[in-house]
Amino acid sequence: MPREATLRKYSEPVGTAVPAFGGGDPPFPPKARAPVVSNARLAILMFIAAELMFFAGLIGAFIVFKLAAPLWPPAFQPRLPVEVTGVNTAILLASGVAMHLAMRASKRREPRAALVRWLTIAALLGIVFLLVQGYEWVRLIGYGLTLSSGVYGGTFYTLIGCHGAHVLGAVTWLGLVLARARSHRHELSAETVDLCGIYWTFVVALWPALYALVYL
Amino acid sequence: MKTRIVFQAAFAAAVWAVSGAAQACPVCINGAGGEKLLDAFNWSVLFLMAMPYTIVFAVIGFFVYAYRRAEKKQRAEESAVMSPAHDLS
Amino acid sequence: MTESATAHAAHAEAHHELGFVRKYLFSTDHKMIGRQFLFLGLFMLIIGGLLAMMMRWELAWPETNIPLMGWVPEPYMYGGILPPQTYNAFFTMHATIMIFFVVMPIMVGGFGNFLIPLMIGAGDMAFPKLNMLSFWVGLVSGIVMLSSFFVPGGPAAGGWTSYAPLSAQASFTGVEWGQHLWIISLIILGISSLMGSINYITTVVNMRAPGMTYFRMPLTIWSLFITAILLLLALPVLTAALAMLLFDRMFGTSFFLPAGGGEPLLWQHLFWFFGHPEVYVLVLPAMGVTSDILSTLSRKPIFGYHAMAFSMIAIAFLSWVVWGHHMFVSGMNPLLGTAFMMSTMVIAIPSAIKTFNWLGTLWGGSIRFTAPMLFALGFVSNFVIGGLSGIFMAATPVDIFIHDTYYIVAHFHYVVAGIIFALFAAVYYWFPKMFGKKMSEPLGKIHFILTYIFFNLTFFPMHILGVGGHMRRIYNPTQYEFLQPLQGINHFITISAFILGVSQLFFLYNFIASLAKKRDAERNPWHANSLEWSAESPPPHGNYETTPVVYRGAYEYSSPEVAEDWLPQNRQVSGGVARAH
Repeated sequence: MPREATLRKYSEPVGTAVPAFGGGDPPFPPKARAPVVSNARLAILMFIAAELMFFAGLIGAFIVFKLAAPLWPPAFQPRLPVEVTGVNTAILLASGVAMHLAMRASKRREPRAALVRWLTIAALLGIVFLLVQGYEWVRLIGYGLTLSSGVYGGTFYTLIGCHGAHVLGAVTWLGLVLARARSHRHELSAETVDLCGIYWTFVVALWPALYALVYL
Repeated sequence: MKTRIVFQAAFAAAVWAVSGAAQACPVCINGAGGEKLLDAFNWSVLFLMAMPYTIVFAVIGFFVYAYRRAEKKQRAEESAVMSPAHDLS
Repeated sequence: MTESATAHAAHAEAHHELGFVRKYLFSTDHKMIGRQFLFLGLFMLIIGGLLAMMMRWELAWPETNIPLMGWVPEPYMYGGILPPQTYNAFFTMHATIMIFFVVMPIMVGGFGNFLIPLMIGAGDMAFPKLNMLSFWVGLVSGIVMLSSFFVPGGPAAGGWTSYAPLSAQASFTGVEWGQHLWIISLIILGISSLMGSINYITTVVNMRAPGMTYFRMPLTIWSLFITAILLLLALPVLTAALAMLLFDRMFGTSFFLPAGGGEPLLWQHLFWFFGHPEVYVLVLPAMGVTSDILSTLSRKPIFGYHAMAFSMIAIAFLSWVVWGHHMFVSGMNPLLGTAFMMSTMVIAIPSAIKTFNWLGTLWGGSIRFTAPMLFALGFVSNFVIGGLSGIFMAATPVDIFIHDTYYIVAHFHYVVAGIIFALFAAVYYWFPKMFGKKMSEPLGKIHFILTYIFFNLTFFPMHILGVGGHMRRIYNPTQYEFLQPLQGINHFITISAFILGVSQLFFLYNFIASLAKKRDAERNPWHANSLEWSAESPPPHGNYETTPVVYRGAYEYSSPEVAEDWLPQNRQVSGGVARAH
């Protein structure tokens, strides 16, 4: 019994219901449609959003220290290797380009060999980036810049170290995708390459910002 | 009337802008670290504030783009299905 | 009718039974994961509540023996006497547990998991395995947090906000491993809730049943969706800050230690940048379930559905620009302080829209005063009190006076402990769907009456204490001459708090006894519209026999189109067909 119907409901003739209460006329018949952005793609985007906020927290801290310091880098602290890391930036960007070409190859369903070639180049460039970073870290520690040498050392190692850990993670993921691409037993969906590629692009694109902020 | 409102708004804005200099509260210790520290925190605050909005709007923008592209693609497919039928008739 | 047809299909379907471990422990079924979160949260609620009881004893009768606590070894307690160190640890852990391990697991983890797929007409979450992982990682985080009670030095004692530099060096609080574990536990919890929020967002965006447009989703789903976005973006900042704090404590960095060039204020900025959205993470789901319960049980459409959804979006947007109001006395550029004051007052507007719409929903409805409805009304009234005291504090001059007093304690208990009302409302309301059994209605009413009265008798006098200058987090108020006239209020609060604690036994008994019963709940005991009520109670694995098709919003109560006073979202009305053509 509709005894408590609202006044408005009764005052309107049935059949001209206005969209209210989140209702209204349904698109008839309601039909299911495939998601525009697939679950996995959406998930990786959300993950990257969270990662960006994580780095935003670290960068927010870094900004305070850098801008508040009377002298940055502080006196009696080693200078960061601007030139070598600049070259290293170019290497990482090149790996991003290689990854992009790999994604294009997989999207256009080019022969597997092309995909494997670009993925291998991307992975190798990523590894070179990590090795150079590691070598520079060892040298900096040798010069006496450590985690405990004030906020200068602390921010440098946490910020750059977090990025390095992300590159390492991305390289590992890429390695797994590459192994699948090389073995011909597996069917390789474009999405498998794409997801890894999106994450790789994030890791690569983040670096120039960090480089400009921390090194320059 | 109108000029009065404009004047009042301008006055309020001016008071707000210089209120820092006029406020004399015991806990406003912001001067302790110097002007530079103040600036540093302000920039950090602005940066942190901007991040969530940047990300959310970027994702929304991407979605709008993806939906538009999907719609266009669907329309293209529909017309591709339609046209041979027309030829047959 | 479609309902009886689906019921037959359900009986005809042969279920293949999973083993015990797959079904009850490592289940990927969102409903089981939701129940697991619920049990975890309720268990933690008991612990958090007992900690509060001991703190209340200490404040009313300082440095006397707490009954029944003589067994706790020294130096944590001395024959039942709470030393200051342990008192600090208790209020830290009380807040941490209540926020991160009670409200979040139950409202976001429990009801989020249980309701999202059911209410949008999906079979499960988008990533069931990730969902399972989210619970187990969350459980590990809880275990790490609880284990800090058993390490030398006791649990963290720097307050739930863990302000640096107090928390940044072990020698300041005398707690070494307790604080480490606190940090580690919250980092792990961040990972758990990251997995959860990715899952929620993906599920809501991609898995809605045909016809379920965004603006036909029940407000519970809207609230959980927005909550997931807030969690996704806010928690990583806390994780970054926690990592820096951990580095300060373990690896000799000095981010927050002035001795090494660090900035203690930075911790507050990062913490509250996370902390204020976190407040809305806690309250939004409560607002969502309240909207659904109020509408269903007053047999009226929700008043201003779109306004409700958009006000939640507005709250989420504004929640990122108000965090400075926690730091008015921490030393802030007055210009910035004024800006934060303005934004904080602005955020009261969408909250007020919600409150007025709840009242509009109740207006002229035929209200069913059942246990869930009573608790939902309790949430609304407490939220009004907590919200209004929040507006006072938004004004910087007022805040400078009452900062760090019991006025603040009263305020956030009216809001966050008020959420417990919505939590109970949700448990009473969805219990039949979760377990296929009904909870006792008379016991629920007794529980509500006692909880409501003694909640207010406990927390309202704290406003008076606060204005009288009673500081927050003090160990022994009788040490201060100016607080001695207020000690009577402290006695009153403590006695009320004990009765409040004891009245929860009605809930505990009701919950356990109802679980032990035979199944007796029908599909739709409340005559509600949203999709979950069209599934079996409890829904089987996969939820729906056939994917439901949605024809309208969730709030078509007392619709003139049908004889009954409810019109489920998935029911096709013949007149509706004619209308659509």
